[in-house]
Amino acid sequence: MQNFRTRTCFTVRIATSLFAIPASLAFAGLASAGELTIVIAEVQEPDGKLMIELLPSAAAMAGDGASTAALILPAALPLTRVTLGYVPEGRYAIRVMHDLDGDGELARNLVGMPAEPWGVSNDAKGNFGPPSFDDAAFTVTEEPLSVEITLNN
Amino acid sequence: MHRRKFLQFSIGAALSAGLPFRAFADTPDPWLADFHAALERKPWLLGFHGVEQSSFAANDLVFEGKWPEALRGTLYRNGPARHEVGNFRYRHWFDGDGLVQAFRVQDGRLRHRARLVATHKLTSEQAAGRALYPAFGSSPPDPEPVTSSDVMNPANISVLPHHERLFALWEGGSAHELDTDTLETRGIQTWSAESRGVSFSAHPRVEADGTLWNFGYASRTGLIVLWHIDARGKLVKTGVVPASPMGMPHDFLMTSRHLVVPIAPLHYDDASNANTFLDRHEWQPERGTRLLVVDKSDFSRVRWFDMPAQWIFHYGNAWEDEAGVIRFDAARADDPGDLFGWLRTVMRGEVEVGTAMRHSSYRLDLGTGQVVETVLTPELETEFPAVDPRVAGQRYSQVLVTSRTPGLPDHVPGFDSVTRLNVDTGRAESYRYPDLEMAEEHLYLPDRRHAPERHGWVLGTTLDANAGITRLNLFAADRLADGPIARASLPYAMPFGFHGKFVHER
Repeated sequence: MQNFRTRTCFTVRIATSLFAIPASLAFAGLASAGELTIVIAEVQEPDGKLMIELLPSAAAMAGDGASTAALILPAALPLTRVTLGYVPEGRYAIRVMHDLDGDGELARNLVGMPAEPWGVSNDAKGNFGPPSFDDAAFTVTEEPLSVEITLNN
Repeated sequence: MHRRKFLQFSIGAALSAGLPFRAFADTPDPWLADFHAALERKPWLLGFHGVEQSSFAANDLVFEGKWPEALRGTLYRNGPARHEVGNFRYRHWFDGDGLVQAFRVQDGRLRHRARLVATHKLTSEQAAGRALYPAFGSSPPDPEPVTSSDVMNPANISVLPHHERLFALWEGGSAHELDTDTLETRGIQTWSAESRGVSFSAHPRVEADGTLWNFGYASRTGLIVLWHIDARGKLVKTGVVPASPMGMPHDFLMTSRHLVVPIAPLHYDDASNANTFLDRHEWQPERGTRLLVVDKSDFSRVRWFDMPAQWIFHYGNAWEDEAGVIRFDAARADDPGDLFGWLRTVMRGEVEVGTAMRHSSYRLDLGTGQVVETVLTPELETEFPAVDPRVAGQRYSQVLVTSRTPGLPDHVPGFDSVTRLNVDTGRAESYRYPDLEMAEEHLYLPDRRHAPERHGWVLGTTLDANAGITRLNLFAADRLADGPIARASLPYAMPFGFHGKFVHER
């Protein structure tokens, strides 16, 4: 397991394969799953990678629990798009950061505010703090879903 | 004049002013209606009315008396001015968008310009036709989220002329750069990538050689920020010092060797569900005031000292001797009750001036940690201290203050006089303005032909609440009691403001 730990916001644990959905789920046929397309808009810099997490809970968003899926993608301007084939039905939030300096962490300014582009699903804005899971949450069903997130540059 | 004991301010204030005002577009805001009704009967409220238009201009204004040939330059001022947005009236005097003014003397006549600072807040609210963001002491209906301080920055406290540039200052976020002549807004000032959007206080301290020191504070993360900028406006270094719980430090001290940030125990509580930034603070006097002392040459070298809790907005000056004793002066109060009291209720047309301000001198011994306070003005209330800019951070003896003489009724706010104080002897010389000519900050303008603190002028604005106009008044500094030697009247009243700076023409 590789750990990409950032101070509070982005703790990403990914399995050796890019898609961390256990293979067993795809065969078991137990839970319903749907196709999820993630579109990241306003990607402005070609350098660095986009780090995307699919988070199943507020706890996972706060760093207390694993993400359902975690992806590292090269930046495509102005939109970067990726599709996950089998996401179990449920409520999720997506968080994305553009790792411009390539250190695997969300850079922070002098007083701890994000200093690299980032975004969350529903384009949820924090109010005097980071956005909450509830503000960012959306639901995956059997129907294919496309979710667009705009980077705050 | 009685001292008001500070009781349970935050609960009462939160109930009356901190709750969001739910209104439809055509529902009158009761605070707006009440203020306008009160203004009819109470002319002393004029300075809190505010402005709607974005800019003002007046040319060729004549001086009574004689403006000295040797004195050429511009007085810049700033203060909260747009107190009403659409149907909503701010609940606190500190909330309105900043209006920067320039008083320029040319060929013995006065030229006046004023312009609202075109912040993100102002431009988006003017486009939307309503208040969009929470403010320091108000919670307008249906606010947009605040993703960074500069989104709600009203740029309304002070101005900083530095290295031929001009900035409008707030304290919660960035400085905004302005054109020195037209006062048009050039944009947010960023000193470095890492410090973009970070708190830059309204009271930077500038040495005689132009070196600039400032502080800032981050409430949620409990950090004091420190800034060192050279005389040409280039950032030399920044620093952060953890300080939890955070207070609301407004001003600080600079000596030859140290920066001192006193933090009074008006403590921020992030878990508070109060509706405004102000109401998320609680006064905890039992915890005392802490003084953060920082080495100017190395921001990682810090020490902490303690003194009894008191409330101070402004310090005049500070200096440090060879034995490590720092002497400074301040306009002080026992508690910040007024922040939650008349500074709010005045916006509804109600004033009852409460907590008494006094001017004190202090002695902080860095060796023993002992802090000794001496009250210099047991009868006179003071604010807006100012010194000869050439003695900033150096040994000094004179401080200029606006003052309030005993006997002014509690229902009339503000100041009625200007006073020059000797901080060593307590000797005072005052000039009291005529009735209801309400004094704003007065600055000491050095006469550069003479040594510091010897000869100079005093320059300040007044709002004549009876005539409904603002005046500019100039005094000889060592003959304050004789009254103004020159004064000019604007054709309009400007809202009460906070701080300014005088820029001598080259």
